[in-house]
Amino acid sequence: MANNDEIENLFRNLPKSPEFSELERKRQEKLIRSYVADMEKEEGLKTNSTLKRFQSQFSLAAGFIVLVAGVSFASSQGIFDSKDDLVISMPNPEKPSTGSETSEGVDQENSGTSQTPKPTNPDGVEEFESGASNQSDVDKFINNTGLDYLSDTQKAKQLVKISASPLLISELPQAYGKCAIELGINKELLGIDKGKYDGTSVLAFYYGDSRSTASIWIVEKPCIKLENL
Amino acid sequence: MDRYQHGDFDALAELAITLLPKLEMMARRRFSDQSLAIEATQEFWIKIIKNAKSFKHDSKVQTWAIQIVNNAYLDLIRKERRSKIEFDELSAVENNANFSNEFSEDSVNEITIRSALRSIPKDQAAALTLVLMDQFSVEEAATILGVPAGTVKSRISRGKDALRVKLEEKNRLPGNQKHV
Repeated sequence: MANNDEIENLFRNLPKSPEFSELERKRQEKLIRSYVADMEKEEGLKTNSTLKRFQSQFSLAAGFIVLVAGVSFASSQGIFDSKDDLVISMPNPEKPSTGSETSEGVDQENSGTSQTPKPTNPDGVEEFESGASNQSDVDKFINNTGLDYLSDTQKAKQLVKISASPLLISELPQAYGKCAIELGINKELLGIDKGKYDGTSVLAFYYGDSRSTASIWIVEKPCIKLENL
Repeated sequence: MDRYQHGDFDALAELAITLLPKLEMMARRRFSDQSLAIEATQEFWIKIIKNAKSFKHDSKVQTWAIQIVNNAYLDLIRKERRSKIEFDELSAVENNANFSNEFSEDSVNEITIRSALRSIPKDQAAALTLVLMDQFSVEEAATILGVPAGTVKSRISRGKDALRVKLEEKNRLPGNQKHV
């Protein structure tokens, strides 16, 4: 059995790699400068696109205001006062039903589904929306145990539902997907759990090949790494 | 760091370049193979650059950088788990006559330490590498890790116990009895 000194010696006697050449150092410096320059460009692009989005939203809003002002001006001038115009623009709830519409109505009454009526459209025909949830499969693997990963890691590991195969990042909420990419685990992400770490609210990203070998990244919002378990 | 956090990217590049000698030294201590040490140095400064925005000015930049580098190293060796040599594979390598000349006892020790480090809890591995590999004092390691010195001592103690078990397991494998 190795004693403390042997373990310390093992570390102390580890071989070092030879010093880097001046050429290698210069190469690293160059790499740093180009990496940071790329980063600056990216940030610049992001800022520009945010500005463009703001500008287009602003022009849309301004256009809407002009339209509303125009309409109210026109109505104050009595341009839309014609009764014929009013009749044409109103929906007609008293419109005689055709045979096909009646049978549709019966079908809807008898179907017993959780369909819920939406307000009628301008033609007086009801539109329906299915009550079935569009919840994606990925949602099953976004857990919310609330457990503290500093003290209850084992319990959390047992409770958390994780997928047998890697999750599709595109189906995750954007912030989670982005964080998984930042952590470099986007191709092996198996599940996410909302929990605590030493009392702080965190997300636990489970990744790896399977439950037994999965590792966990504990991150604080927005995606600050705290611990890798 | 202040200048970068106010939008000066050149300052960030300068900061990373200033830290390069320290990063090189830490990488060379961790990897005897120079190409791996070069790769690791690159990984270290990328992590520093990426995390620079979240630097909170509650410690010195160098202290903060060392913590990031040490974490990056432990992440790197954990990633190796799926692709590189494990204890049993190491044993097979040692027993293979074709490879026996290419693996010195030193490099076997290095691989052994890496394998053992990735199989113990990360907080213990972090304390062990800072104190035993980088030769920081317990107090310095405590500052780097942002925990009390007593916590570092207990992590080192528990880490050594865990390492001892892992090394013992390795020694039980055929062909590995001589190394510890």
